[in-house]
Amino acid sequence: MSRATLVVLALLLGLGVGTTLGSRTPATLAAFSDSAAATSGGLTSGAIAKPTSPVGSRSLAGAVTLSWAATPAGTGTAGTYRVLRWSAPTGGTSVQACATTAPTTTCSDAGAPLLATAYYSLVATVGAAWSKESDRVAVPVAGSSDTVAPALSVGFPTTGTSFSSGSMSTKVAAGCPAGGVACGSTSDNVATTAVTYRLERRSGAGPVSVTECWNGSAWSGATCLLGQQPATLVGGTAWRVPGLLEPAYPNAFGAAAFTLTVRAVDAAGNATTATSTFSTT
Amino acid sequence: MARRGRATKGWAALALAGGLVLGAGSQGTFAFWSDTDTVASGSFTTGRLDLTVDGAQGNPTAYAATNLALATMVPGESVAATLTVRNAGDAPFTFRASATKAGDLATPLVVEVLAGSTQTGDDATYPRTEGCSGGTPLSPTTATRLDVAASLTLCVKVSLPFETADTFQSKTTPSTVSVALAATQVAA
Repeated sequence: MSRATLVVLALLLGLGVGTTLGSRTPATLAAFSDSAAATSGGLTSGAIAKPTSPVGSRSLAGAVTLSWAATPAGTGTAGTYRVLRWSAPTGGTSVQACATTAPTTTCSDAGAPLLATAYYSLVATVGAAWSKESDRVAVPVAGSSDTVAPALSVGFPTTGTSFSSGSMSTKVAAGCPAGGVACGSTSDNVATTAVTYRLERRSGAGPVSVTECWNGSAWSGATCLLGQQPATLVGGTAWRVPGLLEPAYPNAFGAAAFTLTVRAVDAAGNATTATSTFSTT
Repeated sequence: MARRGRATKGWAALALAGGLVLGAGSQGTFAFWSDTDTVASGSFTTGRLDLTVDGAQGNPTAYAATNLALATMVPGESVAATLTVRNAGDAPFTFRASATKAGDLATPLVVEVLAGSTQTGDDATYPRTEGCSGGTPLSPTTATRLDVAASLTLCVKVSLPFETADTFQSKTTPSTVSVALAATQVAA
């Protein structure tokens, strides 16, 4: 086969392959394009509050029944609870006494030591990882348990008190120690271990009335439950609802009705509740 | 050999002479009639490729999906919103979706974009768990065709997973999620 023949054959072969490939590969086209974007509003995360300590009571057989208030988490409450039994009021070792899923807020511990005070804390959890633990509470041994509930009173503002909103903060400042928006006293034959409060403010009238809850720093639209907000307990005998006066009682707020409910608990779980209703004009 | 050379020279001389005669003849000037015509086309304009979100251009300013927001989220909660994507242009296109997150919750937040889906659920009652009904997940590699004047609902779901770490509590500076939609013209 001559050289010229080979060249012609190669050329024909190249043409054939090129045509085939060309028919399979789409031409690159410059096409129109457009884009758009959508952006969300704000997304923030909440938190799980520190639980209030459980209240325990022991039967003569030694079993300890524990109950507690639901722990706020975000706009709701914690999803699960674990009660830990400790060997000491501080430090020491712990075992899980019982566990519940919301909304159950009671459980029983049959493993408490019969002849020694048991100490319990509550761990509230939301999701798989968010949790907080309460302070510990003591439950004395059976047979020697304290059955006397603490005494509790509201010192200021007392029921029936009414001031103008412009003078309310001044009146409270004169009636309560600094850092308190309401205050009172408590006592117990052993010791008051915790005081909790619920302070509600209702303003407006009829269907447009608004009820808000004091959370220690501001008024909130969230539902407040007694037992969720810890009052400041000083020396085991004086308590105050924490907060600053101006946000609690704004001078120009006007008419509002307040309901304060406080609850004192001793180490044996005995509890006393006191209520005061007062108003501003 | 000498005789052949003389014959060649003779033919060459004859051709030269002929060329001269023809050349002299072509020097004359002739006037021809002529005419021209112009054909004008119609007008030409370009169309456009136009992807809108809830009727908004979303470009250069992103469309604000204000209902896709949730405050004080806790693990297990989610929010969703329906967006309507429309081909408001003059040619069919395919589009791809991609999501970006910004802010303190950028790491734990999970974003899902589904085509042919609408928002379900409730973001008012704890636990707030809005979601998307059915649909096909979209991604940066999934091309979805939209013909001229056609529309498609997208459901965007943002969730804070149950396993979110404890360190992500109380992130009160708003985080945001953006969904980018990129459309490309298709030939047929």
